[in-house]
Amino acid sequence: MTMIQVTVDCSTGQVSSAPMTPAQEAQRIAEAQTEAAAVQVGQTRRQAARTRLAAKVQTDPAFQALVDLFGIDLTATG
Amino acid sequence: MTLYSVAQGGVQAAQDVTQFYQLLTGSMTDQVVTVANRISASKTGATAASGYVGGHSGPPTSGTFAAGDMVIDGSAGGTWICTSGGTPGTWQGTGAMLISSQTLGGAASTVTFSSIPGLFRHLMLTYTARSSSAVVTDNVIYRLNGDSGSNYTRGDWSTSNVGASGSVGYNITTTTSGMMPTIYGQSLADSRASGSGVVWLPDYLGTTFVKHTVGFGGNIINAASYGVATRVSGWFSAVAVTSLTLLLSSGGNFVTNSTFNLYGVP
Repeated sequence: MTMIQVTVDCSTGQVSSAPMTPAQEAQRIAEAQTEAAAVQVGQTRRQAARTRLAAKVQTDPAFQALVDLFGIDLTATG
Repeated sequence: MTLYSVAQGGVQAAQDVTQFYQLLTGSMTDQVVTVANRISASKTGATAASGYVGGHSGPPTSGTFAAGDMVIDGSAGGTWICTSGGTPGTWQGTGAMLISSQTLGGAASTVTFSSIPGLFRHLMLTYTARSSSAVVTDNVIYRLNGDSGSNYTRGDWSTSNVGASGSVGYNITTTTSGMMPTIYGQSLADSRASGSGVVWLPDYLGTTFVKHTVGFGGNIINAASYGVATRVSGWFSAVAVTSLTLLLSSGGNFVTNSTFNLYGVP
């Protein structure tokens, strides 16, 4: 897949497009992999939060009220 | 229409006066009137100084002007009003103006708005796009001034069709780009499946605080497939924004006909 970069010069209105260099493409691919890792970290945090909240619900009715109020699905895996 | 003129020592004829009458009443339709100064009006109830002084791309950068002067910006499609007289004085735009619009004629991995003019207070970006990646949804991410360092923190409050009854998630992370609302990818076979976002970047010329983007948007194609997101990102840099680069977290392309519009808001 050829990676094209499009640039619009807002001062002149000139539009230019050019293929990325191999180095730029490699950097872009590496960044995408980092992005994927960041999303997974976020999911892990959400799942950890659900686990902690589920534990709290067992001992404190107030947390159950919060779960009911926000409609939180403690069984979700996303 | 030939304009008559009277030379010194000449005789003023009826047609010399008539032409002025025709210009003033609008009956002479083929003659452009050019005034080399200000055209003003002052009607009872509206007597503050004002006037039309000409055209310019952006507010004037030279010349002397007075408060109330108006300039037409034929390139941005707006007007500028002088709020404080001087050389060239202080100017205020009268509404959001389109800085640049880009509809892709071919797939692109990145779209950059460069040399963003410092004429406004805020920036607003709208987009409707689709990803070339084999994913259901793809995140539109961005960089400011070409900064690819780990200088962005993203706050994400979103809901999607993940799970039996949908899920609501809150996520925050610091990484090398800010984030905007999602768009669809190729896993949605309908070629119309896309996504839109409206993203504000307030006070983009400020040099005191970090820059925030506040974005709303998402992608919906039916009741079983949707993604709605509110995303706030912070760029930890107190410099004026001069360029905005958009890309996709999957590393894929924005497909042909994806559209991006950058507005300046005074």
